[in-house]
Order: sequence, then C-alpha cells, then structure tokens
Amino acid sequence: MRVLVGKEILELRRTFRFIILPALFLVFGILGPAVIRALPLILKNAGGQQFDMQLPEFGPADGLAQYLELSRQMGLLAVIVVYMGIVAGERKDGTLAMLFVKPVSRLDFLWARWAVNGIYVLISFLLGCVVAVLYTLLLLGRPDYGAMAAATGLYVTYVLLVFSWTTLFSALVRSPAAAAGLSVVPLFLLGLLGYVWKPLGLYGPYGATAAGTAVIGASGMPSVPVPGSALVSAALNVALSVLCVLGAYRALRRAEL
Amino acid sequence: MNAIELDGLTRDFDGFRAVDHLTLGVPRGEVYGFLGPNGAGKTTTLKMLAGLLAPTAGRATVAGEPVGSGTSSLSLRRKVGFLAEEPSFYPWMTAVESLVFVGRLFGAETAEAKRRADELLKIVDLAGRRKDRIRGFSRGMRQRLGIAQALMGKPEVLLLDEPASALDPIGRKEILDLIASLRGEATIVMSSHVLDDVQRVSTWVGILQEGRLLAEAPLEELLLRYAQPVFHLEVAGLQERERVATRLRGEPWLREIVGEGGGLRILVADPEAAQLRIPGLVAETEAHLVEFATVTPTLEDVFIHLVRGEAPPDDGPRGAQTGLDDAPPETGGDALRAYRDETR
Repeated sequence: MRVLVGKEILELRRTFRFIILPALFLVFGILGPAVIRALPLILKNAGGQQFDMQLPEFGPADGLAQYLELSRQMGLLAVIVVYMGIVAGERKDGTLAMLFVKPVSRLDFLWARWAVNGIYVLISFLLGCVVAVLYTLLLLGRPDYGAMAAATGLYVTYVLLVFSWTTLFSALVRSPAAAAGLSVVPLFLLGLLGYVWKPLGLYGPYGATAAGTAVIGASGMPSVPVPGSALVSAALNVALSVLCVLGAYRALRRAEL
Repeated sequence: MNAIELDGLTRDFDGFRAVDHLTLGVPRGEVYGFLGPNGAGKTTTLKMLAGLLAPTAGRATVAGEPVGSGTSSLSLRRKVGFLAEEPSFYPWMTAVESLVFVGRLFGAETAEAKRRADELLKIVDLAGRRKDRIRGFSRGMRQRLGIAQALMGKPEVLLLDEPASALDPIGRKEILDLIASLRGEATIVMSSHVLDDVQRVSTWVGILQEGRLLAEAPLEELLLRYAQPVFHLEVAGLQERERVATRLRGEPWLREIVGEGGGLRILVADPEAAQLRIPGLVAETEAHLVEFATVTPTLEDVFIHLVRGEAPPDDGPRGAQTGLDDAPPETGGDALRAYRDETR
C-alpha cells in the first residue's frame, strides 16, 4: 500500500494535475469576491442610463458564496474532466494490466488512488477557500469565519462525493470520455431533483451545499446555524463516497485486462 | 514435475473460441517456445496464465498455484513475470524508477530494488538511459525495459509474449541470448510467430493453431520426428545440373527431385542407398560436384507439415509424442497461407 501511495504522489508531482486543480480553485478564490465587488459597476456600465434595478447590498458573505458557487459548478466539472481517466485511463493505456500481473491487490490500488487524489482535490478546494477569504477581507470586509468554516465543511463532503462517483464510473466503463459523461449526469440531476422532491433536496447529497450557502447568509439573507438536515446530507455524502470506492472495486475485481 | 500444467484450458470471446481445450505441460527450467500464427491463441493463453483473463473452462497451475480468474492469487503473481507484446509503463517515470517501483511491489527494500534495477538495466542495455523518462523511449527500448521489469521479481515462471518483435537484429540477438541464459534458472514460456527465434532459444516447442495444440515436444525430438530423408546437391553449371537430375530420376530410391537455389533438393526413400550412390552417379555424368549434404530439418519444416495437417514422414526417425491426431484436417493450407502473409 505504501508503495502505491508513493507512486500516486509521484504521479501527481509529474503530471498536469499538480498545477491545474489548485490553479483553478485559486482563480475562483480571487474571482468570487472580485466579481461581487465589481458587480454594481459592471451592471451600471452594461445598462447605461436605462439601468434602474435595485441591487441588494453585497457583503463579505456574497464574496464567499460566489466562490462556493463557482467551485460547485465549474470546479466540479474540472474535477470530473481531470479524473475521468483515474481508472479507465490506466486500463486504456495498459498500465492496469502491467500492475495487476504483479503482486498488487486491486483494492489496495483503488484505495491508494482514491485517497491520494481525493485528498489532493480537497486540498485544492480548500486552497481556493483560503484565497476567497483573503480576497473577501481585502475587497468586501471581514467575513464570518465560523460560518465560512461550516459552509466549507459541508461543501467538502459534496466535492468528495463528486470525485468518488467519477472514480466509480471510471472503473465501470472502459472509456474516460464515457466516464466523464456518466459523472456529469448526477451533477446536474441531483440539484434538479432536489427542487422537485424536497426531502431529497434537504437530506440528499445536494442538501449539504444548499445548506452551506444558507449558513453563510448571502444575498442579503441572514446567516443561519447549520441545520440537522445538512449534517445528515454531509454524512450521506461521506458514506456514498466510500460506497463508490467499494463499487469501483467490485467492478475492477471482475475486470479482464 | 512440470512448472506449468494446462488441463483442457478453454477461452471463448463472444461466441468465438480463442483457446480450445488446451492440455500441455511445461517442464521446470525449460524454455518453451509457444509457436503459432497470429490469432492462434498464444496471447490469450499467456494472459490466462498471468491471471489477466479468466478461463471459460478447464484448469491450469503455474508454479504450483492455481490459475483462476482475473483475481488470481497474490502468491501466484509473486512467482510469475509477464511481458506483454506491447509493454506498458507510466510514461512520467524514469526507467530506473519504473523498475524500483516494480521491485518494491514484490516486497524488496528500496536499496535492494535499486541495485537489482541497475543490474537489469545493464543487462538490457539501457543503463545509459536509466534516468530518462519512459515517455521518450522507442518501442524497442520499451520492450527491453519490459523484459527487465518482468525479471525484477526474480520469477520462477516467465511468460513472454513476442519478446523480440519490436527489436532490431542486434537487440533481437541480445534478448534471445538473455532468454537462453536464463534456461535452468526460470521456466520460460515465450510466444512467437517467428520460427527462427523459437528455434534459437527453445528447448521445448508447442505449436498452436486456431486455439488448438497441434504438437508439443522437446525441440530436438520434434525436429527428428519431422526430419525427412532429403539431400542437397550442387554441381557446377546449369546444363550439368539438368544432366545429373535426369540421371538420378531413373533410380528406384528417388522420390522427388526439385531445383533449389543453384542446386537440387533430393527426397529419397532409402537414405543409405542414396548417400552411397549419388556421388558416383554425379561422376558418371562428368559434372563437377560442389556440394553434397544431408538437409537438417528446421522448425519451419515441422510447422509447415503440421499446419498442412500432414503426418510425419513414414520412414523418418521416431521419437516425439505429438498431438497430431487432434489436428483439424483440411485447414492447414489456409492457415499456412495466412501465416506466410502475416510474416512476409
């Protein structure tokens, strides 16, 4: 297991993944507060004299919420694209066959790959959070650190889940592109179904992110304490992530190479 | 005791039978040449033995360990080294990193793995490229690195799928010499469709066609079994050659006489009588004898016989046990044509 973890870390250092995800979340961390700071000016310039809309007063919470929103939409799409080949790519390149004729347990391979890259995705996301807090402080004023930490904690579970189902789909299908296609479906479907069926929206995987935004209290809304449903949703996200890895193992265990 | 035992090993792919009730044994320490045209089932068999493919039916053991499915036991994989026809590596690793990584997967300490990696890189002539990323390696270099990787775990059984297919003549010779040097240390199964490669290093040969074993025996026995009483005769001048051929055609022991290069290939029924009589008959025609020799059979001759579905020559020396009775009739000609097309 240690050897496999070492290989994963070396791979991260040697490939484009090392740069792309932290850079992307870092950009979102700057962009979120900056967009909120510049939004009234942008809207005014775009609308000219005809602009007559009353904008809410934007505050530090909006800067942070904007970062989380960008990460949830664009950031998670990037995670899917970067990790669509986490298993399928190795199978396609023949390295999986090379590895599995050696005394390597398929479960160890999967755990090492999931754990190292999962931690890396979360570190990249958290790096963006830190940058977003700093820029919020610079451009919009002092944020509520406690609320931001709570929201980040809730979002982290959802980020982990998206990475984990990408791993599962990558183990289920042979083509990385197909894995990406399958991974995008729940990303959109979960949010949509959450609006249609309230319990899913509250307790389902997407509930943690919706609650996270409410906890920060953006768009002029007051900050609320973390609801119990969000904790259930976060716990479900972690449990589903582990199930995704076990499902990926089940697929890989039977795979012929 | 055999290092590898196959008992009715079968593998189907969507209704197509790639390996058909293969039963054979590979004695410990031998270099077993697994011969057959492309699509004969060699790679599928090797992949089943390496645990990458599950058999549809039948059983197999490698180094005493049962071969089951895609999740073959770790103890089996500790004893086996496998080289795929097109070996794969992590392109972002250097050659030495790749070998150390494999060594550590086999449980070696880093220092020990590095020492063995350097040793093997020297053997496969990649010591000068040890710190280069594999991304930039040519196919031949990757094949040599693949052989080093297969040897990293000091395997009891080495499964090599077309190990010399991407190499230039010098690289080919070096790798075949390396394989020959491992004889006795490890049991090696080497698949190839290049007859010459197999004849150069193998001690045992199995010939596969359409997933079925046509013959299996020690190389020497197989050659003897299919040896034909054939002589090669060369005389100076074309007219003289015709004169000699005409003279020999009258002999009762002659079966067939054909032109071969600048000389004649003479197939006889009674080799002793022929050997005694031919020089005298040549002298009678007043031709100048340049060369007269017994033709040593090659693996190619054996292969051609087998894929044509021909029995061994009646009066040829006996020895090897072959699976010729199981050979599918009437299919050899097509297979031979296909084989020639592929190897041309």
